[in-house]
Amino acid sequence: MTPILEIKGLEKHFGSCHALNGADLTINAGQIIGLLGPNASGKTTLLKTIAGLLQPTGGEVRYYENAAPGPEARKTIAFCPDTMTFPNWMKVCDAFIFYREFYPDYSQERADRLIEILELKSLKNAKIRSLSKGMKERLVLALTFSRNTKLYLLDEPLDGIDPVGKTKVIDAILAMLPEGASTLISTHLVKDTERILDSVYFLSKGKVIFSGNCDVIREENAKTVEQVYLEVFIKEGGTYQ
Amino acid sequence: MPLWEHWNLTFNDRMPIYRQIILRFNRAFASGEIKPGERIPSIREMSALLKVNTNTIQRVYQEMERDGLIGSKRGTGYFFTEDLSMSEKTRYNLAIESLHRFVEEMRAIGYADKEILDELTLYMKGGSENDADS
Amino acid sequence: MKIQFKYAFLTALHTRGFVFAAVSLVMITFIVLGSMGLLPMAAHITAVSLGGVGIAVMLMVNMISDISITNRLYSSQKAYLYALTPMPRWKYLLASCVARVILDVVTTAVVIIGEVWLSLNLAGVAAWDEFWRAIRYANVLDVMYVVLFALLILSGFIFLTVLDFFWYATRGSIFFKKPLSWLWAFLLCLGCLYVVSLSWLILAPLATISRWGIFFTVTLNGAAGIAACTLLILGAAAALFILTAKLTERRLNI
Repeated sequence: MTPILEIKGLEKHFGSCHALNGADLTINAGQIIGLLGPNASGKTTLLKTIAGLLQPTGGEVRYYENAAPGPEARKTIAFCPDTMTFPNWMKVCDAFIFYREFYPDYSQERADRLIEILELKSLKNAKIRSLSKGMKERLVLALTFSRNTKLYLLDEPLDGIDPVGKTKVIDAILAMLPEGASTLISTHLVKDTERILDSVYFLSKGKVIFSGNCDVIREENAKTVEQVYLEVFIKEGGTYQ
Repeated sequence: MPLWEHWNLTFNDRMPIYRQIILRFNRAFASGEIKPGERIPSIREMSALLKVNTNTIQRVYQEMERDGLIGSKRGTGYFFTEDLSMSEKTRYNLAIESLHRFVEEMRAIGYADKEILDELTLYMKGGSENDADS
Repeated sequence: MKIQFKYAFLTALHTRGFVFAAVSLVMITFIVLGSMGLLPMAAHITAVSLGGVGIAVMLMVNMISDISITNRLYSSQKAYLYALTPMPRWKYLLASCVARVILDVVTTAVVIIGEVWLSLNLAGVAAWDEFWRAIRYANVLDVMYVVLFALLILSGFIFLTVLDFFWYATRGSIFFKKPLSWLWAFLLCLGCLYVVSLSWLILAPLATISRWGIFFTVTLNGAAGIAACTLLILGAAAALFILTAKLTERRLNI
């Protein structure tokens, strides 16, 4: 398996708050990876650092396609933040035009399919700020996957989405992930995502405290990944506060 | 053609997801839900239908191919074996597995082999009576 | 760069367009009514005062909307839309500055022309040829008034733009690296001076109706003029500094 991204001892400090405390992670081509952890465990910080939105305090993010972080790396990384603030004047269709104009890897064909899967068609002329949280989330996901790229970073893609919407999001991820491309999904909803994950990383206080292939985890522990997750984090205790 | 999307696999079971899917395939094949020689969806289609990772389906197909349950024809996709004896064999294997589980369970709650047989005969004669007893 | 400019312009237009439209409309209405001789004296004076207030309000709105545009560009949450694109962010930043200056200059010009027109009307100068004649025979103070007025407004725009740019370019290091912090503090002080001198704009129309008005106007004119000139020079220097020393992709990490 070829790695497309490697993270070694990543540190990110915000003043005295250590959001990342030496996290290690490897993303291989063609995998769906779960970044699991409770709130405030550093998931978002890790994704933002990979996407080049934050500068790490220490450690290393190594991209195999492009050496330098910044605009070069962003060419092959599609980041789906948990919230995105669009300018007030933008309608749903404007957002797609924005993506078409700014991203060379945007594909109208993919966008159309995503609009269908995520049922955004009727909202094409709606103002983005008038959409519900769940709908905004779906829109951002559709925009992210309308790019045909190597690595997709999804930050809490199921947060604030109703059960029907959740299956649609899962459908979209499975249907639109290009062959050989990888996805890193940060979430605390292990149950909803478990079935699509190849491997998982458990993040606690900015550190990876457990990781492995899902099949192996199930086989070795004779438990679902969710059960293992609960055990690990209840043992961790403090993180739940 | 089976209604894959109605398989409704929840994967609450603790065994690896790919094994649960293989088991479901075996059951479908043994029960005649899937006919010998029938075409099965591509890895991508199946992944969308069952809502699991394509790598998982790939592993499912690999293992089933290794077991001779399915075969792939270049360009046209995957097909279930035409070999009727495979269907029989699968059916038999599943039955043995079920029996194994049942017997283990009965032994675990202290039934002797003789008792198990008696209880089973009695149950097969009239299940309702048995239910009322407990 | 064309695409960046398009979005910068649209965003700038949408963040301030409404107030601009409203103020300009009111001004134009007064100009039309005034030039037709349909405005009674009291209303005329009110209009002139309102014009001054209008400009002050507009500049304030500009500043607020500049802050919001800046915020949208640089603060982590709101900047996602642009920050995630594979285009270098400084391109958008530059486009945003240019778009704002263009928009500011054009729309403010409408109001300033209206203001001048109304003031002249009040003084009994109605037609354009009379307007030009008034300029030709204007005394030094009048010329200074106009020049300082223009300088103040222009410097304000440039200053805000440069401040945005500067703040962004050095963000993260500004409070820790000593060589830059004094410049930062100095620019902030000048920003405050600029805001204070804006109050002159509100009082300016009073100059036409009272002695105290003239006194305030002249005093504040001086202060504002000094602030404006300093800002202009410093703004240009800061812009040069940023463009030459700082504007490289790798060093800024943008």
